[in-house]
Amino acid sequence: MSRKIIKQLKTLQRITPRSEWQASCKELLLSQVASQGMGTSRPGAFAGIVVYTRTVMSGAYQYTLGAVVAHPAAMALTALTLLFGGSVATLGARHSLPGDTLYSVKKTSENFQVAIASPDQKAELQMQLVETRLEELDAISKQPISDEEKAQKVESLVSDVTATLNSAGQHLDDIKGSQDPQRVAQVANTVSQKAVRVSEALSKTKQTLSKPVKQDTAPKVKEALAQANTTTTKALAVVIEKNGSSKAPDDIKNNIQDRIKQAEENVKDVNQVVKIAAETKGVDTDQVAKATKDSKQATEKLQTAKKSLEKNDLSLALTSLDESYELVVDAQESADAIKVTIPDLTSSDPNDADVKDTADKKDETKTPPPEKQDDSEKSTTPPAPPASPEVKK
Amino acid sequence: MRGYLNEQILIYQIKRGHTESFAPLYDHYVQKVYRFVYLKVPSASDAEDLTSETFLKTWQYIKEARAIGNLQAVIYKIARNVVVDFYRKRGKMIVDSLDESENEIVIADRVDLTLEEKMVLKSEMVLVEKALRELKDTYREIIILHYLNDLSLKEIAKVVERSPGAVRVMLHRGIKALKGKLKPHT
Repeated sequence: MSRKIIKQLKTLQRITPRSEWQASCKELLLSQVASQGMGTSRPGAFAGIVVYTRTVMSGAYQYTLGAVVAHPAAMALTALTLLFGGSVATLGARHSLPGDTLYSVKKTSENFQVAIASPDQKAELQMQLVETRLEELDAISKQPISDEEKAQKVESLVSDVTATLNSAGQHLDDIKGSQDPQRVAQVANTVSQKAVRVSEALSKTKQTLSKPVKQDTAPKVKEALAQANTTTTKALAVVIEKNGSSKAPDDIKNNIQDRIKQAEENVKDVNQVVKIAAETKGVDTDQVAKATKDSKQATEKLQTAKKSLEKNDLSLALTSLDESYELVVDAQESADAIKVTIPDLTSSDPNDADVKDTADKKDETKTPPPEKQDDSEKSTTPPAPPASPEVKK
Repeated sequence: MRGYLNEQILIYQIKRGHTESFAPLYDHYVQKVYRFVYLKVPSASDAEDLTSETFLKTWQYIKEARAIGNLQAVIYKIARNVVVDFYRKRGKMIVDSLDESENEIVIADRVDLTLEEKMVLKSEMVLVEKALRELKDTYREIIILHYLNDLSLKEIAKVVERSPGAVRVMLHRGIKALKGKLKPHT
């Protein structure tokens, strides 16, 4: 029996990497170590282009004719390389997407760039990579592929976004005690700005996905959004720590203010659903109670954050804002669960648009738009409720 | 690679700035490292990413370390840490089976096999790979190192930092556990 198992195990010796990857990786690795060895690091786009060009060219020429015929992507790449030279092929690698032959080359190059970057460059570089993943996510969301394949690719990219954001936060921790507080503050500022954009981009992409894809990928997207919030908070805390509340740049204050506003918008949406639920029969009252409780607590935290911001106590504002995050997310989840039990809020939208969309549509269709309020009014005045629960009919 | 001395010469040359000397080391270890990593992570693309990371870190280690007695042990240790980091970043252990289409590519390259032989081989590989992936990581990595990558018990002991006797016991237990996983299919 053991001998048979060992024989079976030996069949796994046939597991080998793809030959084109093996060649590309070697070329890439030697290019990078050569540049490091000579003491002339070439981080950034130019180095990327040089490396990609060399990699792709060498990778393509190493295909045997048989292998090229067997791999249509390789054939196309070889043809492009022969016709137009390295630059076109390079472009192909740089714009490759998950599932493409050259995607792993792109990822390998990114790994190299991060690995050889100086400690203070790593966090910024990671945030650039997050942006790249988001661009890929956008492209994948528009691809005419099956829902199953799309969900798989989206999930993988979103997991990558979460991991890279986490990594950027860790790199920020690594440099916190560095000798150059100004540079640390600069890096943290960049990270915070980009992490905010991640949340916006993820939420936007989520809306473009079909209902099944959205459902399949919801847990990963939720994880990524939470990580974006954590990374933003961590980065802002570093900026405040390095500058002190009074000397923190204006954009930090604006950043916190924008996030408070966004959180208030979300709470407002939850309140609308709760309001409709109160006037509808057969709704899960436990969920309504939970949404109400979470939204109330979140509002209190957000009020504290706003007051602290007015007093220029950015640290407390940030802490309160951070504490409100989970409450808002929980309240939104309860609101989503309630929404499912209210036909008016679920039947009209085939893409299962979020509460916000539905609520906005209600406002547009049945109630006149509210007059413009200033920010302080907005935060304390609950939004105008819809005329009746039957607004969609 | 022709033995310990040749490896030490290459390490010496890399330290002196001859980066091209890294190429033979890469050629010698790339398939073994890939196989080792591949059977620990969910997908072939993850294995590619982590293999490349392993080699970059190996190069950095060679450049920075004062002396390297056993490069093989160093490379596998780095690969193990890279995989641990991968799961730490992902936040949880993911044990999925490999996409079968990627497995097909590996076998399709074998021109010496008939189509029928390829089919039999593939089903056998899928079965044993699945069973191996279900094993405890400590058993799995010792089995990979010994039976797939041909390391001796003494060499494995250096990688996993245990005594050769402990490795022998773990290997025995690992094979027994693997038998249990494969039994329903025999």
